[in-house]
Amino acid sequence: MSVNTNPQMLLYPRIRKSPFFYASRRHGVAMYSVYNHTYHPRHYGDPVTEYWALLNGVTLWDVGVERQVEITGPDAFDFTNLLVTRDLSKCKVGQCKYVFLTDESGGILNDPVLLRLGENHFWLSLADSDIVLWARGVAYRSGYDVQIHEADVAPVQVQGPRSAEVMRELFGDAVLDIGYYYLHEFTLDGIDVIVSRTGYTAEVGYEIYVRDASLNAERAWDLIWQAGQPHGLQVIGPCHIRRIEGGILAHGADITFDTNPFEVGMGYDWMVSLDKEGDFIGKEALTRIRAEGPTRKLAGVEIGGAPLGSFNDGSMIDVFSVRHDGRQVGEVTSACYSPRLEKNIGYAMLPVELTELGVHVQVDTGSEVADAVVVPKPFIDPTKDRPKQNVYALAGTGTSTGAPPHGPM
Amino acid sequence: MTASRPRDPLKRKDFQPLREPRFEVIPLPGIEDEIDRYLPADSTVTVTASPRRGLAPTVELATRLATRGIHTVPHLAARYISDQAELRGIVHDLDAAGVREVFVVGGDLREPVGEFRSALQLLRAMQSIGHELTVGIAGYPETHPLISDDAIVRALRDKQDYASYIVSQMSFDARVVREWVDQLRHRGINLPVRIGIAGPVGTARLLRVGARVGVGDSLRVLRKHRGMIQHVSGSWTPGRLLDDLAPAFADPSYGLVGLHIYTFNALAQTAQWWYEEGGRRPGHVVEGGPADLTSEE
Repeated sequence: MSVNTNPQMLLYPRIRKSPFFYASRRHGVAMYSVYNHTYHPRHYGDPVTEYWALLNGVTLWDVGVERQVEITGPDAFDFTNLLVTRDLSKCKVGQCKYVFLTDESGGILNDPVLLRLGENHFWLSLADSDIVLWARGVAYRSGYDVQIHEADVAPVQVQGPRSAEVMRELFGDAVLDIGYYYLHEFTLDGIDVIVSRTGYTAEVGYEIYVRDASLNAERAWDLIWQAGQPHGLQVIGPCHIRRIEGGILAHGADITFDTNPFEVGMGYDWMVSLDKEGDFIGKEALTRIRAEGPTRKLAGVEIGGAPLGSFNDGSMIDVFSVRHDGRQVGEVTSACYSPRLEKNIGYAMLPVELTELGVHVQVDTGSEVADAVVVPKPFIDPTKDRPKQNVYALAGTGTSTGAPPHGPM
Repeated sequence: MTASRPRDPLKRKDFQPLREPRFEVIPLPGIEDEIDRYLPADSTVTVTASPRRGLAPTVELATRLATRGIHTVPHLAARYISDQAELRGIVHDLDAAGVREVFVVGGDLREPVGEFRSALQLLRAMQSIGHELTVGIAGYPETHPLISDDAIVRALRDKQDYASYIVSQMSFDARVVREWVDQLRHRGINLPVRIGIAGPVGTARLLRVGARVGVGDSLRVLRKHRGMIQHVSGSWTPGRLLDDLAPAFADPSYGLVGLHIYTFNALAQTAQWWYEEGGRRPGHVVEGGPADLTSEE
């Protein structure tokens, strides 16, 4: 018996197509995965070339798999605030927040970007899990007057240091006034879109949420592609090398239903508001976990041995087990080779006592047992200076028009 | 569109810490124009607070810069803030201007003007108000004129739950910095550390400032290494210190993540030095990628 290490993926009607499926396909998708029951283009041939394109230029991604759970109705604010660990009273209309939805034991069900479109109008731009079902289950017989459905909306990401130039080409100078993690409505040749200054890269970037996507997605894609050509826009898949460098976690890998915010190192200062007004699901459990301290934590690790791949190229089909003093102590949940650091980097869920910087462990990568050392995470730009850069400068307008920015004002 | 190319040869273009530097400025009249004129447009600018003038000039400059899209990190000094109400107002104003990050310190006043004596007290008050700011805190590789070493390490341990990173007070001696970081790591302080270095300025100015912020010991290093002071100009440049720190930057167990450059408002020299050392130029390309990305259409 021999293992086929590279089986094909079946394309057939039962797996959902994102509204951009036929548009991105024309650019030569080389590999799909399935995400929110939907085909997700992972790369177009060479993830490392895609990484450099993101670092130095501007890139376009089909992220139609980020399905939008839309929550509306008179109780939408109170209900959404019950679902998430952050304090939504700190989220203005027109603002976005990276949030956790937790269950009653504090486990993370999803980590979407939340968009607040109105006092009682929210989108949860999902990672990979069935939050429509969870939210409807929570709402059922709860007494909250809310409507929950999957909106006919699909986003693309425009990311990289030259993204502001392309966005300016599409929407004019006003797009530069969108603050980091804010949003604004625009039209694109008659198509209604929401633009947010968010992304999965830790580089400067934007997401364009196309409304009535089942009708408009392909035309919107083509308009963005055309506008990007003079700026060297390249279509790529989500760049996992860059997100691992930048400390951005992936639900289903680094975060699962069985991990809580304090274990993934995002609980203490801003992701969990234990003292916000109103209850939220998981509050009691997280209050206890915070008081006792987590028993395991996600640590950054540099892993020796032969260069690993790019994570989204099939080079890491399963977690790597981690050993210390001959015992199995945890697992590496994401790892890749960083071309600019010239090292293998990744994240390992380890007992707290092994997460001190400089601790040495052994990692079984499937092809060898390599030495690894615990290092601070993220590996690059821990305070996200890059994505918060001055976009007026990047887009070549020199400075703000002085008009009040959309968002922070 | 033409992308300008990095000016070469650049001495230290592979030295990662020079990549995302932060430039610290003092909020004095005219500094805003200097920031526009000399600093790279995508810089992060941190704004100090002075015991004599309080926080008003800091908040004013930070909000102005942030409103114009510049990533700005104001210092909040506990001892200059009178009470919860003032703190609430400051947090609100910063948030409204789009400031996303603050640097919280105790402040150089022997007696606080109000109810906050320490950075830790201020951090706790900020948490009770509720805020969404990323927080940096200060570390002192050398003796602080007002605080004992042990108390400082203890305070860092208490503060680390409220913060995302540490910035070290400037030091001129790589060995002192390394030993200090070692000590932090041994004592369970795992936050990333950004190393504070003095930009290229006149040594007379450095000696004056140094005595005040408690870096006298390592300033003596300056006097000892004749080579480190170009007597011609009587100025200090950080190059040698960066050489000495390079191994620590390369060793992951130190957890060093970049540089924080104290400019003393000498922005023209600082920016010039930084370019020559290998900082990014506008349109800079991250080395190692396909070279054709700089081509113009």
